Amino acid sequence: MSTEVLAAPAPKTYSGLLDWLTTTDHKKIGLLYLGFAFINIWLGGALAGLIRLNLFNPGWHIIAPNVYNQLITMHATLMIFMAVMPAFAGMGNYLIPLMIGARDMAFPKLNAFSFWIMIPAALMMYVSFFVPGGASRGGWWQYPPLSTFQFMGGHGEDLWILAVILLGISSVTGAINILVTIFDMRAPGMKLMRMPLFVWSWLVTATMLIVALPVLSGTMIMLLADRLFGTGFYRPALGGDPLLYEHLFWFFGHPEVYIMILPGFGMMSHIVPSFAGKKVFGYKGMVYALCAIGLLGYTVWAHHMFTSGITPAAQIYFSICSMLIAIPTGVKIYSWLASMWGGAIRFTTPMLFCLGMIALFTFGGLTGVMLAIVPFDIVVHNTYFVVGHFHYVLVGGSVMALLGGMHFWYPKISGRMLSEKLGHWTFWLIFIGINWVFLPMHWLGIEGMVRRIATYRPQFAFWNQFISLGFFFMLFGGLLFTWNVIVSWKKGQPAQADAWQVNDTQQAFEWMTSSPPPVHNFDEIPAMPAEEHA
Amino acid sequence: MKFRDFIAAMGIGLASLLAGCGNPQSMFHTAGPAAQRLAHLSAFIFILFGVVAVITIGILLAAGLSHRGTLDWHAPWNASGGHKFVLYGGLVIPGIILFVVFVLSLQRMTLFPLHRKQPMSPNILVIGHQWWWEVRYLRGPADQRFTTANEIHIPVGRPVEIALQSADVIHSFWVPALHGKVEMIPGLTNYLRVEASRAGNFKGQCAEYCGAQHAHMRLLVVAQPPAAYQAWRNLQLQPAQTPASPQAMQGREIFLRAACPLCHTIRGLGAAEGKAGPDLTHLAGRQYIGANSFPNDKADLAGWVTHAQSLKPGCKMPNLDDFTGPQLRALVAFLDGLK
Ligand code: HEC
Ligand SMILES: [Cu+2]
Ligand SMILES: [Cu+2]
Repeated sequence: MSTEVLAAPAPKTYSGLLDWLTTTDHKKIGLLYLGFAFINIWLGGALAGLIRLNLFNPGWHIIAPNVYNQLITMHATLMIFMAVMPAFAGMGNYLIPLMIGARDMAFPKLNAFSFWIMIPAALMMYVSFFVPGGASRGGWWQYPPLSTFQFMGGHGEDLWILAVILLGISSVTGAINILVTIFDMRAPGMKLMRMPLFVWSWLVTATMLIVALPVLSGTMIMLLADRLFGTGFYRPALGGDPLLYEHLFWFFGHPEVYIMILPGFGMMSHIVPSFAGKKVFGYKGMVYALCAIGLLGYTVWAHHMFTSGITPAAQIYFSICSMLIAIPTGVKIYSWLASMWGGAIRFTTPMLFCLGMIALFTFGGLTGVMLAIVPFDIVVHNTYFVVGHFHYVLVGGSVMALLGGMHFWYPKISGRMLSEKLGHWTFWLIFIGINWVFLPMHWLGIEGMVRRIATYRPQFAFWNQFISLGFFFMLFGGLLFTWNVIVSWKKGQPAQADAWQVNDTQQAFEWMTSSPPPVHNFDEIPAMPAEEHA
Repeated sequence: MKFRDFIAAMGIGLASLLAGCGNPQSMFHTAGPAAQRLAHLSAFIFILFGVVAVITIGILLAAGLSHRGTLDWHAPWNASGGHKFVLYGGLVIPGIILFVVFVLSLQRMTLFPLHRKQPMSPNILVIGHQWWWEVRYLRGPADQRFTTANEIHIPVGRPVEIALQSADVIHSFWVPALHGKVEMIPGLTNYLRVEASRAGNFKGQCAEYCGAQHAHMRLLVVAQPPAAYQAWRNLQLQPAQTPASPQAMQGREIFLRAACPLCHTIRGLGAAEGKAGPDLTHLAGRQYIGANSFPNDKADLAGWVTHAQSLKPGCKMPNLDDFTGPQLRALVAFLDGLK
């Protein structure tokens, strides 16, 4: 492997702002991604606050229904496409070259492109709030005919579609870059089956992105044509088929949920064993499970459409495949448990986030399997049960794993430790907040409250008020984390190269180089130790 | 069988305990065989998955709390064990559980003849509009058919087949006490077979996001004993009643001269044949207005006619507020007399 040849060109000597604008260093681009995600998680969180405010009382009607519908659409859009995905992309960008012993990504300029193309997309999303008619209000699924021009005038929707297409381009180019980096730039001796699991998780995620995102783009281009150029792909009046859209959207939409969790799984597989003082349990099983999830993820999309009138045979098929995913997922969860078993657990902040993630994700995963059961799904489909479920996997799973990962690798990135005390507080606030807010939602769904409604019948008032209060746990948790990250950047305790003594029990490249790593990552490309057995 | 029923009953008991006095839209507040079987299966699923969640999180706690390390001291890096966990926890037990619930769910699949290619002879056609429900009774010769809106009456103890369509965007028909939900997709027809095992008013709600007033696209199903149902049906077949008082008579004229007939049908009232809004022929017999969002009384009727846009912002009925006080009272008296 010719890492020297592919290494980044000598860095130009800009400094300050210009340096950040022109950088092709994977570490800086990774940080840009993370900063972008940081801003958007706050904006998306603010929208969530407004949603909870409006739902606090069914009689208040503080927010007009049309505005409320923009809030729910944009909350989902910001959180999915502009917070969670870029956050994982940022961690991937920063860590993958370090973990495989490379000096940069395979295509540093493409890497910068992948990041910077998100900026016009983000601006379009923000600006759409201020065009006549406001931002998109189609729900993030954008089901036609509701999302066609006849039922949703104004150009907020068009801006949304264009922005999502740009974000898709960013993801696909980023994914290609990551794949080439993984396949081409590993340190000598690092066979695929000896790669760190975070790298494996990104390998699977990147292939999923490359297959799923173009489908979304195509689907959206057809929708745009229906809106602006008089075509009728989805318009029944012109012989089009709204059901076709549902199929196309969820063919992207289901893999998307794995795109948003697999890199989190990858991080977990580093953090959990590190703080149990063990090597990760069942490496091969973990890799196979990742691949199985990646493949099965494409075969289950219509479980979002059990109530659309698809044939019973199709219902049974999609139900079986969806349940099957529980098996590789169970293997992962129990492998983490086995990685802890018998170890001496150090309750550091990253570890707490991982333990919380296992508990919350297990819960969200189980409600997910319940939703795969057709007769159960047709009862709770599109109710708050589903809202509770996917917030458990997305906030309890992805965001908890991300927070764990950020606390874990922060010393590597900044050269300073985060405050453990504030970290513990952050964890408890967010952990309690997640349960406070999202657990009662399951109950509301069982009670019959459907999702995406700006007001509700009075019998749902109590739990909605309860949930709205829980917003403050999340808010204070987020504030503490932000404070911790900003203050520790300059004032935290200096971190050693191996800040958590990970390499007492592992051989992780990223902990071998200094904290923060030099521009060229390694003074000397580390060598893979000989294999112990086999 | 026996054991499962026991578990299901326990689950339902627990659920209704939590629900306080029993919320009419709860999935456990059933009023028909289909919903009941769905609720039983659901209760079983809740208990089963609840147990799995507790066990997994218990193992997590056990693994986490049993052995504490410090930053300087941690266990030897080959502390072994755990193969059994992964084998049983990740493969064997989930495999068994999935198999069981899958078989149980297969038994329930027969409940919903949802597929549109099956031959059906629906009794009722429900057409979703932004944001109200058009209801057409289809059985019998032409003079036995009629159209109403937002309130569906069915006889107790008899299966009723409902065809579901949409006039604009995707909606979803859901009356939790009777059955699961089915989407109403423009250009397609879906079907649902419901049966009420007891009389009562069952609330429903559009369950697919359909725009501004999705929240206020509500529905009422009234299950009646067959005799009462027949009486209701006979009344619906009649054209609108002639107003009883001079004031209501005057209201009828106002109705005809205003924009109302462009959008609303009142059978027996010549020009009133509009189709853009709900049929008003027997409006006064319905319990609610605005797709089951506001009570059907004189005050709300007056408020609705003049300020539909503040009660239900964005709905397809404009504010019609150029009436004088007496004119409005006459109009409301007329609407209130449409028994
Ligand atoms: C532009 C069409 C239009 C006009 C004109 C119009 N309506 Fe309506 N009306 C509607 C629509 C659409 C609805 C259903 C609104 C909803 O629930 O979302 C409705 C609902 C109603 C309802 C409630 C029915 C129910 O069962 O929920 C009443 C009563 C009513 N209109 C009376 C009137 C009267 C009286 C007039 C004339 C003064 C009038 N409407 C004029 C379109 C119209
Ligand atoms: Cu899915
Ligand atoms: Cu709706």
